[in-house]
Amino acid sequence: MSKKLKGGWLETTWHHLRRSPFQSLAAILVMWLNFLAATTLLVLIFGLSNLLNYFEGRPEVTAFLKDQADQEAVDQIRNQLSQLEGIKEVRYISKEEALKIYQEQNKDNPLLLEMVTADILPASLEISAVSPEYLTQVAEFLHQKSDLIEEVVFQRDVVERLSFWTRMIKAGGLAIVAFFSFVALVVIMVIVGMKIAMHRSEIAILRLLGASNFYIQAPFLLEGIIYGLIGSLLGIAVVGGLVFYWRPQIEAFFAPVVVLPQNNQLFLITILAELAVGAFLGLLAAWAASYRYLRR
Amino acid sequence: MIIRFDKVTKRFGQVVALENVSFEIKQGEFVFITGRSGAGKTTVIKLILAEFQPTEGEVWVGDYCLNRVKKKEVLALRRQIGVVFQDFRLLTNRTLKENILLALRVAGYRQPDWPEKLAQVLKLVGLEGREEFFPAQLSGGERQRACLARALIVEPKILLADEPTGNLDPETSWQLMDLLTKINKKGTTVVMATHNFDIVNSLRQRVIKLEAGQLVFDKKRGKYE
Repeated sequence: MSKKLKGGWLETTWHHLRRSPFQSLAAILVMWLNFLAATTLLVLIFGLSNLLNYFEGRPEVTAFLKDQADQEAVDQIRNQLSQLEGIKEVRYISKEEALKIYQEQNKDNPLLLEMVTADILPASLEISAVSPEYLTQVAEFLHQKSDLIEEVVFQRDVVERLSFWTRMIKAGGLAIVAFFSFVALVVIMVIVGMKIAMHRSEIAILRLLGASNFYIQAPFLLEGIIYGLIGSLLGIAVVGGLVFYWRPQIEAFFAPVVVLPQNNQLFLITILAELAVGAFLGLLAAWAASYRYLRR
Repeated sequence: MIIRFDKVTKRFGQVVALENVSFEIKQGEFVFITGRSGAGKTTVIKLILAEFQPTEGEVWVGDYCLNRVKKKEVLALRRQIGVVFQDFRLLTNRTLKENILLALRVAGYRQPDWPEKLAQVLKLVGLEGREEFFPAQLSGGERQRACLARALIVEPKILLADEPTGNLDPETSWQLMDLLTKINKKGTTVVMATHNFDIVNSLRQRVIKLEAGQLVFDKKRGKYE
């Protein structure tokens, strides 16, 4: 098998590729486009899922208190909130603590620090729930206390929007990738079909010599696999290269949420899986193209 | 390996290529199949190669009845038959060596045996030193000998030649016939379709004559009539 591969099929495949380089290039390009879309989709889905998990894992409502709210009234609200179902923690952030948090977040920007004092920052209540479904009742309760509470910031909107976009990108992306895969399959089928037609006389000679269908088919199947492998590798390389190049900016923008994979093993598995899918797509297209011609 | 045609008829639609043809060729025989163009000579060759099956009657090659043969058996059979064509049918983008070794590769011969076999067959057909030439760099006679080398390298029991001298000048044709006679003397059955009466009449081997698909005569030491 390996000798056949080294001395026969690979050599024949190389002849096929060399004799019609533009057809080969077209097949590789269409596969590249497909994997460019697929890899981009994977990165987007990974990032959005991490964002979603981050917000879902921290079900919180923040209530900013009016300046005139006295400590007794605030304590009363805290007690009432603690008695609601599904509440994990109610934390009071005083104006001074809010200033510390602000200073920590903007420690690299002295201009922003100079302009802010504890007086202009509102005190707040941070209410975390055991799951996002309990947030609605908390928000409704806080809205009733409008005499003491300035604003209620509720994560449900963010989570809902993120869920929506994740679903949309998954569905839309899958549709695009499915469409590109179909186009890649058809283009490779046509190209391999043309190559088979170009090698009619060679195939006839091989048949007369007693070559099996698989022996004749093998170089064309290898060709399909090569298109798939090169196309997918290029797609992964382009998206991977861009992500790697902009990684610091992306991570800084989304911090503290980790939107890019940190695990090299996951990276490797994704690359191998994409290469395998590329090789399979190329093989499938080449097999379909050669099947009708050679099984006659 | 005996070739036997038993009341064989082959029709292509309305066209009758062979009609009720029967003969038997024993191992080691040299047989000319003669007749005009369209007489059915190539159909006989193609039936032996199992390129198609007879419409009626039976074709036997060795233990294989080609009416009932499986696809795998056809491949195994073809690996035991060498074929030479009028139009050579060499791969134009491969060297002479690659063309000849293709037969060994397809037949599954061990690679260490290839150089020795190649040297032997090149010596036999007189093409030593031409291994790295492409078919376009060879003369007609050399191409036909290359085709013969490809057929012989797998040591076939039967050698089929379909008008092998059709594209060659008389002198080269005779060189080829000398080779075929030499190969036949080593025990290979040679079946040659031809309408070259000079060759047929000079060699005086068995002649099967076809006319409009029918067997007109089958004579040992026959002549082209």
